[in-house]
Amino acid sequence: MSVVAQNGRNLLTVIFYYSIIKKMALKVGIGQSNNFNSFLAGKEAARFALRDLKEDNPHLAFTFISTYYRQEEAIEGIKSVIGETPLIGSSTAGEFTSLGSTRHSLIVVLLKSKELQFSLGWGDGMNKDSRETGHQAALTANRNFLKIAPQEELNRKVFIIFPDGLSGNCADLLRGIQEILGRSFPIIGGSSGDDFLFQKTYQYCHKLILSGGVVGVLLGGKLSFGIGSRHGWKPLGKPRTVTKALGNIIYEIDHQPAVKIYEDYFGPEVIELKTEPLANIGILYPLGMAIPGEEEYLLRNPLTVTEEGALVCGAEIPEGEEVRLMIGNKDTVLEAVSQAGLTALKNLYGAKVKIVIAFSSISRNKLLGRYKDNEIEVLKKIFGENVPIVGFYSYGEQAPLTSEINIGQTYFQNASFTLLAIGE
Amino acid sequence: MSTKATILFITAVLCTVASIFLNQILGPYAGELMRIIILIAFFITSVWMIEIEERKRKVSEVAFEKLRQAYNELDEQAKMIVRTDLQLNKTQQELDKKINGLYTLHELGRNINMTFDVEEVFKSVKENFIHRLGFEKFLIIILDEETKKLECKRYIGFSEEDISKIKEKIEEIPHFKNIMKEGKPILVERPEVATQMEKEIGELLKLRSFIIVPIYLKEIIVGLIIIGNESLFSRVTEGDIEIISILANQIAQGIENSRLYEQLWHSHQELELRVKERTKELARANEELKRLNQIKSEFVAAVAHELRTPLTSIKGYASILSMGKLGELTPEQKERVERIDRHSTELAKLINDLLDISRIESGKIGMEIKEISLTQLLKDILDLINPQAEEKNIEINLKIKDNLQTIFADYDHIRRVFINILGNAIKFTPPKGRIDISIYKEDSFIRTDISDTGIGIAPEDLPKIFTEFFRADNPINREKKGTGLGLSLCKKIVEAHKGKIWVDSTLGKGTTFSFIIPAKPELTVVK
Repeated sequence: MSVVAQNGRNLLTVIFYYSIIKKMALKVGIGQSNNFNSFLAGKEAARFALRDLKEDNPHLAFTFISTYYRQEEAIEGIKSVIGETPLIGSSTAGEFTSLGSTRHSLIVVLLKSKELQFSLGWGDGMNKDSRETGHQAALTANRNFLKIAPQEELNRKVFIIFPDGLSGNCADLLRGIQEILGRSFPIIGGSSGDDFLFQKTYQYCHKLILSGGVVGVLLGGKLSFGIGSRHGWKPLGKPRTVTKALGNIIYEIDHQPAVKIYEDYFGPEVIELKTEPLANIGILYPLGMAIPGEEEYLLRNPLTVTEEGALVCGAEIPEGEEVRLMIGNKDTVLEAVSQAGLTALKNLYGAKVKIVIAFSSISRNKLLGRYKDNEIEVLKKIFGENVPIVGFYSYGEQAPLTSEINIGQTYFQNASFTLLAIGE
Repeated sequence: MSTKATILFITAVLCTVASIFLNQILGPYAGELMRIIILIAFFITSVWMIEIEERKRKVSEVAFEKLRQAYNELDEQAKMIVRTDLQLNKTQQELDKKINGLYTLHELGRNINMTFDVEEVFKSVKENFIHRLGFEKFLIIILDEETKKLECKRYIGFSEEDISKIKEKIEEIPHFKNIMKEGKPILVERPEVATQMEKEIGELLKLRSFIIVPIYLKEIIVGLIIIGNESLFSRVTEGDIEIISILANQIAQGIENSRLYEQLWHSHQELELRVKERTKELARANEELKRLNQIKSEFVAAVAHELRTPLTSIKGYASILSMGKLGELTPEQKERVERIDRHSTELAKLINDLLDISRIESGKIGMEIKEISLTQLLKDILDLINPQAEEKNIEINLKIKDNLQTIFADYDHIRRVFINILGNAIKFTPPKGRIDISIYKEDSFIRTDISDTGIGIAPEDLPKIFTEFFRADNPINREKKGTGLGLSLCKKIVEAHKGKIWVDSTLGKGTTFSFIIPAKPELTVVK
């Protein structure tokens, strides 16, 4: 290039540079289908995504698939269009795009950019040892990343993960990942859902379909990433102390069975919480613990209640922590989306946003009801009408609590709206 | 407290130091005394200070207690808030569901009403409608009228295996038929509160939370709708019964409509078939009639023709005889011969009329339609008619409107129409009666009305008046002879002019004959 420039053929140089810039640009294609046939839905969504991408041979594919579909067939449908393109994704409890939220659909996102560096990783057996699962996933991803970019370890920018939403202790899983990638390495993710059945969720990596595992993609290269995460729930009532807990099970609060906190507040209505998994009460009124130096509390939805009255959560609340009952309303939770969006935008430092990938908690889906699409509208106002937004309703989210400059330890969260904006 | 103690201590030290000085200045006794005084003062101050501290501690304890109470009160308030909030959220969810449900039902209703096929009615309940209503699984069971067996007419969210198992068991377990007998909707919010029967149904259909609503068709239960979820997270609620009942009604309405439509269609088909058959029959009969009429006309023409020749000779000989050319006749003979002559003339007229009718009918005589002078025609007619009218003292009024000068008609034939109708008018009008003739334009026709103040025609006779050989039964007809062919001939002539003739009459008041002929014939038919 420089030789050409010295020869004075400046115009050619400019054109050459321009074409490089054009090649560099991150291309995004999104496709969605609600075909009743699993294979056809996969095929259709992938086709739409490819058409939207306007180019062949995408580099990386994300997919969010409702458990309404037969998973193998759906993946086969996608593969029939995108071939060997690396694929990663998660089952959902509802999906959304810029057009609004849906249930029983399938989304395919295709990315293409020479500047995109990435590697996939996965781990399974979250129920046995969540930390070990985290190790496994982070190690494979890290090893693969170093294979493609041996000199560029520092270029790793963010680890997107999709852990099982119903197994193990997700906080432990995160610790496992952090032990490999570093305590303050940005990790963002959404726990897989299964259309509110709370039975079995799936994670996809390449041709693998896992259950009870975690899949992740380590992203790097000359792209910008902005993370934001907020929930909008506020503490209510007096603080209580967790006096006995093990892993993700809280046995006692103030030396009484943990469920008593809900009995105290809700009276007879609490029967619902005791008899059903993820009852309304647990979803709408999570427990919160204060994290020193953070604006918002860290939330935990009780998933089930054991016979002796212990609360089983998606992740731990350690012994000695003060917990409070949390309450939110439509305004506060939508305001949280706005704050999360603005944080992500700020973290991009002016880079042009190409795509927003978001994970919204099922608690929000439930609380907002008919107004759940307003979350997407809020994001559109922040990022602009034409920026593609994709995501799904998750059983838990992973994101740094304070996301200033993407630094901050990633926590397992409930009830949050978590997003990753990719810019260039 | 510690600062105060320090101050006290420092004061005590200072006092001691001061007392040592005093000791040196004032001497040992005075100094000792001073020291004792100071110590006593110190002691009193200390006791006093401790008392103050005690009092302060008590005050703060009360404040703390108050604070704790307020804090607990706040927590109680929080409980109230949170319960209200839960209630609010539940109401909101219920409301969302209802609004959503009503929107969906509205759309679904439209789809159901678009079809008139029962099977299509079931099919029109699409998967996405059920999802939008907030359910995963949907089943319509209908009791077959003929086999008396339950049939799964539509299922959504069930796998083929599930459904074949359900189809097997559906007759085995009596629950569905029992529910149909009971006729009440069933709500199972969660399996823990279900009865044994409900549990068994839930297990069979793999539903943990569901509603069963009967489908009523004209007060009779024809089937059941079962809708629900496997996931307890989006479980059915009491409010859903209402929505699903509406859905059941819509489906029932759809079935009803389809059945009615089918019936209507069948009866319509049947009717059409019958009409076709009848039309064919009529056409056949009509053909037959035409053929018979043709034969009749031909027969009449032939007979009339054959009759005319001998009649002419009879008439000729009768007139020769009556004129006495073959010898004088006795008055008796003459009277008889004259009667033969008169009757022959009548017979000839009859035969001529018959011939004319059959000729016009068979199209052997065409109308020679040309422009003719109306005044000439009427003068000609009235010259013939006036003597008869004057004889009975009947007044004839003629009105020609619209400045009509000429008409298009066959002169001789139209004249016969006028003469026939006027002849009848005079015949049936008592003396001193009145006949009005008015001729005027009506649309593209010339209309002629001939009214008399005669005896009129009985209503039952009116339709038959233009029929051949019909003669109304009245005293005049009984007395005077007629052929019964006059009006029939008139009708044939007017129709041959592409016109129409009709009659209005009131018994005892008079009769109006009207006929119209085209003002301008499209085609002049030349013989």
